[in-house]
Amino acid sequence: MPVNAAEVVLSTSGLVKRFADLTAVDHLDLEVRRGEVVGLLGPNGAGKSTTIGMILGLVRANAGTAQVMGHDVGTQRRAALAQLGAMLEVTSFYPHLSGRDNLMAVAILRGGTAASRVDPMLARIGLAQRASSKFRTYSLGMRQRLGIAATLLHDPAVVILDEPANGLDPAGQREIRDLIRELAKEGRGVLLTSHLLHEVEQVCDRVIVIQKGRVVASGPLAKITRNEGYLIRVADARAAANVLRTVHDVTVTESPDGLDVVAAAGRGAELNRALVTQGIYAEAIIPRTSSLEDAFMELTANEGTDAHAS
Amino acid sequence: MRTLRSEVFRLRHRWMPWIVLGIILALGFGMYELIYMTLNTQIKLLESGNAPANVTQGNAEATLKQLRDTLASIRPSQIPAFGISLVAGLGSVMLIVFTASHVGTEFTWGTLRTVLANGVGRAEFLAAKLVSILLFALVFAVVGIAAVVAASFIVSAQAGFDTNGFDGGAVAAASWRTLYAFLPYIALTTVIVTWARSTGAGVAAGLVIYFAESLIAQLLIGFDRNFATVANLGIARNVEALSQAGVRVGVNTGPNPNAPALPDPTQAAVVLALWTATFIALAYWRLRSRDITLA
Repeated sequence: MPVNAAEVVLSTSGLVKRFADLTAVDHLDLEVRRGEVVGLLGPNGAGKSTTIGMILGLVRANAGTAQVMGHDVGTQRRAALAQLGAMLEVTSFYPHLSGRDNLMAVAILRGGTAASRVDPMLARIGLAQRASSKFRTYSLGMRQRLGIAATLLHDPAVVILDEPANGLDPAGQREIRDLIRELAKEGRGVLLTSHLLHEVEQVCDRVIVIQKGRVVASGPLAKITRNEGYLIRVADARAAANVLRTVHDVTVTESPDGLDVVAAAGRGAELNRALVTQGIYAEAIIPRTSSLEDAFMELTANEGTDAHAS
Repeated sequence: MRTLRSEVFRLRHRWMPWIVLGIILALGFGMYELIYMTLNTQIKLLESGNAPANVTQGNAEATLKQLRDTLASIRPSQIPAFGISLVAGLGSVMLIVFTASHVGTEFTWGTLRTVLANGVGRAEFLAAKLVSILLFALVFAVVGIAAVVAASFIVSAQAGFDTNGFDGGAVAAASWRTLYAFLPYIALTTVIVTWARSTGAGVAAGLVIYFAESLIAQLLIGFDRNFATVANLGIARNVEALSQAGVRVGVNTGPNPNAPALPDPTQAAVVLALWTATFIALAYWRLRSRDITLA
């Protein structure tokens, strides 16, 4: 999908939030484009929720701006939030109202055709059977689903999902992943925070990792997850190792799985050619990348100020 | 307007407003019936010559007259002086509790976040809350006054009193004054809840201020009549002034001639309006300056 500035549906520029001496968010810039799922990652207290709070106008920024579809949240909050749906980490609804009535209360606030979307939305998120039950009787998973339904009720162009899979069983988590991809396919921009990094890996186009309120890495997943070389399976491992050790900038270690080869990304073909030239044919050359979890742990283990990936 | 509609929608689905209306309905009838039964029993005892030990033959006549006069306050002609003051007294207490719950639960349930995240501004939120409480106070006053009017006619008929003399205009005027007198207490409770983010704090502080202010004003005036100038700047004395304005008082409900004069009704209305505006401004300022955190 071609990317240009006009496609940016959500952006922040130089957002700063200080609580007394603590700088919770420190000049944070982020962008979400139409049809894109962006993961906002960081350890507890990194500033994710504060950032979302500032985008929603719930938390007042000390500096910087947030824009939704070109509308500044500070000066055109109503217009900005009309295009934005947000599911917060702690889903808060009226305990004495049923799921349907809670959605209806939100629909009245939103106006337009939102009220007519209440029942279809309940069906879409799998709550139709329990729509008449009081919210206080809902399980954590059902509360999350209701939160997602409320988020989508007014058909927003931008969706913020803060830990949407919290409390869901594996089947529910998969449904949410599918839903997120579906939302992106429908052309919405999605900003997702999650502690389930495998979920992020599966649905996000880009990730932004923040630590102590600052961006320590951002970019496509492939850039965040580091290349760690190759695993080469070959019949004569010793001969292959001797060949590969002659290749420039390559380190080879023999292991029970095969040969662990440390080499830069994109050199798989070169390694294969070196082997073939010597009459050695590899059964498999498997690129090894660190998982997002490994990358996340590494990025957030220290300040990581030199880890900008883009 | 959408925010107000959403408020009313949610209010209609809560038990609390219906319970509050049920209580004022029951108390409106119950108090009239209780007063009639209690006083009528005592009057009959005295009339039959079976006076209690503390009533001597000499003061039996005076006691009997006093009881008959008190019983006469249940007549329809006395509704502005007695029935509506009953609704006003109960109403202030019940509306403090109701307001604390209506505003405070938004903080305790975390639903303030949900409402604001759906594009509602803080000023709009506060305005919708206050208007919905005002609408409820109006319904409360209508139900309460309808209950005391009905009870007055029914119990007067039981007592064999003349049911003529009902002045609808006076009742309506007294009702409006009662509703107006609710405003500072609604605003006061709102500011306490907004500050403390707690229903309990709103109920406790609201009721303590409601009862203590009136008591302190009486003590101050009892200590030195000049303190009436200070007490007249508070809420309680102005509410009292407003509720007594234009009321044709019964024999036993007349003002104490030795007590310092209550503020002029117009002045009382202005002072109450100023208190209400101050409380609302403080509540808005607190709500506006507060970050609504997400966790």
